[in-house]
Amino acid sequence: MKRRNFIALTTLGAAAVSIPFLNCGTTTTALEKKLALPQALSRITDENSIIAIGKAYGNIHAEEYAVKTLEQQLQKNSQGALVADNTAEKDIDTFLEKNIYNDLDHGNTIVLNGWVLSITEARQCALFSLTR
Amino acid sequence: MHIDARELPANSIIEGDVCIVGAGAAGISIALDWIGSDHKVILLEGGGFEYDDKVQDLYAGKTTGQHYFPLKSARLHYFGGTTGHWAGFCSTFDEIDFEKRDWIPHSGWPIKRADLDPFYKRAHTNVELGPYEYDWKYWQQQDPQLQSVLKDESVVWNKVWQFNNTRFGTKYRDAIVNAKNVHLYTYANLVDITANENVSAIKQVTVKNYTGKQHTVKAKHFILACCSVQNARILLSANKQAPKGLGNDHDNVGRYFMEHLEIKSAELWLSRPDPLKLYAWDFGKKMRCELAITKEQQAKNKILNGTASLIPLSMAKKVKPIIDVWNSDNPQKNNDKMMEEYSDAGKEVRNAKADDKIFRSYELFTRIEQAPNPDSRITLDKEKDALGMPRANLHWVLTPLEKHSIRKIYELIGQQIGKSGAGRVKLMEYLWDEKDTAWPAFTGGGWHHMGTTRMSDDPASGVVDANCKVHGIANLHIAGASCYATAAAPNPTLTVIALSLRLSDHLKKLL
Repeated sequence: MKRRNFIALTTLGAAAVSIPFLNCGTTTTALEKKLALPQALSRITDENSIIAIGKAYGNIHAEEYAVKTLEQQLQKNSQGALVADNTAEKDIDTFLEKNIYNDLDHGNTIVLNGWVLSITEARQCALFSLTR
Repeated sequence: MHIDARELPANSIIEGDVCIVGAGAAGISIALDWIGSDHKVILLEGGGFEYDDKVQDLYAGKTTGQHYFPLKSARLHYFGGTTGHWAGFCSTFDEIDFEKRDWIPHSGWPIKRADLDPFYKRAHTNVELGPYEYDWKYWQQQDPQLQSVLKDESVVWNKVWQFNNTRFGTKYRDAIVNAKNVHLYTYANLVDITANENVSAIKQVTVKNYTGKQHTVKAKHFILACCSVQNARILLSANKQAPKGLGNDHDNVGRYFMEHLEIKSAELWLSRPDPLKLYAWDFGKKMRCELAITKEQQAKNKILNGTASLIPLSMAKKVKPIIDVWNSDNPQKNNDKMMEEYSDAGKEVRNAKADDKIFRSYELFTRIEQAPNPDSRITLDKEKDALGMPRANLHWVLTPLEKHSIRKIYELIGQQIGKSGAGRVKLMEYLWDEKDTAWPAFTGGGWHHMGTTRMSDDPASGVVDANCKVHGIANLHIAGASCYATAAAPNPTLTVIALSLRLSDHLKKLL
């Protein structure tokens, strides 16, 4: 599987995560950057695959497939907790990780292009496909 | 004692207390169990002590339905049976395998897993396996490098396999030949069974070989231990007194043929390289785990029981599908080709360091029971073999439940691998569409033939009872995987031996 430089950079930390988004111009805040990057998946597959996964999600859930809608979905969890622009970066990471874990734990998953993904990270892929 | 039936005067009469037909893992295990008893045991083997292609040809037959291995090369026909080249993969069936599962038609055995427990332990000795320990944590205590890829085992669990490819033919030849009360007849192929007038008991069987000689064997009890295809073929062929074949009043003989579906199914991608020693297999290794689904999750998701084994992806991609490799009538050539494939492909893995990128991705390979299906069956062909027995036809049929189950198994494994933080799972393309019930060309089996004389308390739905006695025939018993009502996930041999030893104990009480 071909993996691009940006994937390696994402494993280095938050600073590196922002690299792919510097060129896209549409999302700039830490929150937006993190919402649109499925961390675990980015360590094992490439940018094009993530975009393809995101588009596959959009094909199934056309009603969600818009930047604003996906951001809103990703900013909240099933317990009603929210993250916002003023949330500390590490807390955003924790929030997303927890949501992904809960999805996987409760079987709240989807198979996209073969990948078994949590709904949260599937939405992240969808957002990534719209914002890169 | 060993007698070559070719050397006997024609039309000899052989008499004993118990006659075991077939000297594979089941037949030899039973014979060993009777050594030193006061009873005379006749052990009939169609072949000799070595491979003989003319004898092997007696196993040839046609296959239709799901693409399958040539029948001639799918078993071995000489003393020791298919243990002559088996890989020695052993594990126990689970409790759920014996239960009636309302989402699997025709599931349920008349015995429980607990009924086999003491016999599994004895079977371990026959196969010369390690300790009778199937909790992976026992093995971790011996080797702390054995680490689970799972966070917990509430959905997916680590099921232990043990390995030892004991060749029953060489290991137990002397014990059998030197036993005073066990009379082994080689080149004695069963070609006919004669019952009493009302077909309620077997009087004698007829054996034959390529010399043209035939002999008669009389015994108090008869055990067919010839593997699933041949057991069914023998019963169906014995139709001179029972037109549909012996034990076949309810048209069950030969039906419910089951194989383990063995098929590559998904990829596991790890965040960082890990040799995953707990799951690794190589020649000479004593144990490993496969990923299995808990009983509760099987019930919740209405799926069959199956497991996933892990092979480094780069190695797996070098190995051709077994169904394409094992494609000739010669089992020895097929086996050599297959061993060469794995040996070559494994070199890179054996030389790799623990942090090598080769250990970042794995193929997830499924072994799964198939749903018992009356349309999946052995029938008789019009063509006869050289000894005059109708050849077997196999019509192997799968159902949509198998594919649904495989897909669901990898969804569950994907969820649990994700939960543990180890990585993500990607299903192979043939599993992407839930509505697609087609099977890819690389779909294969495990040379595991099961179910053709299935066990049931009810004669209407099975051929043998809980003691492996053929319904309606007082002294005819079946040993082997043909008695399985369902196939479970593990390779069948350990359970074949356990079930055979249980039958052996039962017969001792009768004599």
